[in-house]
Amino acid sequence: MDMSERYLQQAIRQLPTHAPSHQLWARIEVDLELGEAIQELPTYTPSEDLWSRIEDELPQQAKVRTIGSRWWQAAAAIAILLVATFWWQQSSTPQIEILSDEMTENPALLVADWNEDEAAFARISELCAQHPFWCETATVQELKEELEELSTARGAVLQQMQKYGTQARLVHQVKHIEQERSQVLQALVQEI
Amino acid sequence: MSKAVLIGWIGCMLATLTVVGQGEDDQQRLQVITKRITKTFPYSDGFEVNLEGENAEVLVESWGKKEIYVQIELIAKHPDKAQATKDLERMAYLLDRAKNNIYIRNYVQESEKTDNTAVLEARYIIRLPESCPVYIKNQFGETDVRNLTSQLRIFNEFGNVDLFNITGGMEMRTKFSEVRGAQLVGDFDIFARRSQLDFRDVVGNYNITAEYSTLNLWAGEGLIDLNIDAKKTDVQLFNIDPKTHQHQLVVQHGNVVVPNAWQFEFEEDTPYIKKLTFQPNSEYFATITVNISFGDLKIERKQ
Repeated sequence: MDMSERYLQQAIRQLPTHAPSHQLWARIEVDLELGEAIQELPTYTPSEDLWSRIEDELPQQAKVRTIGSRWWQAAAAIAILLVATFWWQQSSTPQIEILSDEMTENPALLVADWNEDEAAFARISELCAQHPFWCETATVQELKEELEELSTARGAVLQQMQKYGTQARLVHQVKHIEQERSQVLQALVQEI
Repeated sequence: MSKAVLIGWIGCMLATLTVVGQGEDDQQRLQVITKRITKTFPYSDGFEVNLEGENAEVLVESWGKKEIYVQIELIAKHPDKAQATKDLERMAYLLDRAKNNIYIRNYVQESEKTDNTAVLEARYIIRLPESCPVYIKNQFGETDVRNLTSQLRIFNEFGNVDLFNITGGMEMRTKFSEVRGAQLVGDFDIFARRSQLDFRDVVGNYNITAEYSTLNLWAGEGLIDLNIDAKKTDVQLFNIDPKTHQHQLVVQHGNVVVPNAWQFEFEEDTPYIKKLTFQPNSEYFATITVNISFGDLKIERKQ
């Protein structure tokens, strides 16, 4: 016996020992009997179209379910889109209404009579042209500038009347300017 | 009642009816067609409203909602309804938002009007949060601004302006206008030419330049500094407290009326120039500085 065999025998002897369960052989017998019984079970061949039927059935259900959910998703998306569009239109597009009413006004009050005295204002320019030395003083020059500013303002109001029509608010503006122009004209006449 | 009196009475009645009838005949019936546009914008901090009106009545006021509400009315008036409806189309408007700015405008598309066209007007109602800054440019119209705490800028020509309960300050340029204000608190910078200014209960710092104008100002509790530079303008200051303000007044070619009881020091007093100063006894005081040429100054003390 060589050395390695002796070591092996010695190691085997040192292994722990275990006692088997009392029911062990009974369980082994049951397992053997069950294996024999399974082998004796009858065998059946399935119908040829079984799998095709199962296949038809399973995918059809799945397909129906998928198609249905997609339709619902699309409908929901369209509905959300419509609601969002409506809301956006409501919030971004102005609401416009056309209203109709009546009123009375006295057109005689709005007759343009503010040009009747323009000759008097023009006369100042004529005098200054004929007698320049009358208008060379600083006071006259200043008054003339003032009159020019007022005349320009008057022109702006009259232009506004051309665009928007003659109305009380603009007539008030003309009145104020004409009053100031009259004062300046009087001052100019006194100076000249 | 005698027969003569009765005849006279009937004659008077007939004459009265005739006059009234003539008055009614003078009245012309006008068809008024209005296009009303309304829009609401959700508001966020940093938004500003820019309004450019022409021949427009403008009302801007604050409300409690975090929204900016804009109503524009474009109006055409003419005896013939069809003509009024047609001419209304000459009026155009802009109502849009670009980033944080909301732009509002009205204008007439044609520069020249032909004969017998309708009278055109515009009206605005704008409601916004009180802290929303506002810029208004209005020509040939009426402007009414109420209850704002934001920065307000107004450019106005040929029209009236009414301001009420404005806190925070304002920058204004106005020509050929009448401006009325009450309960104004903050920093105000105003330039006026050929205008009439009436401000009541003013509080804060005021810097006013006026030319060819009249200025009437009533001080409120808490007026800090008032600086007026006026040319050819008459200035009247009311409700001034001698305990709280020192005065530095210069009037050239004008008259000065100040309360007799105050100990004003006249540094110069000639027919051409008057320089006055007044210093209260209190330790802390604000300053009223007035420089006027070719205008009068009147100061009335607090009662």
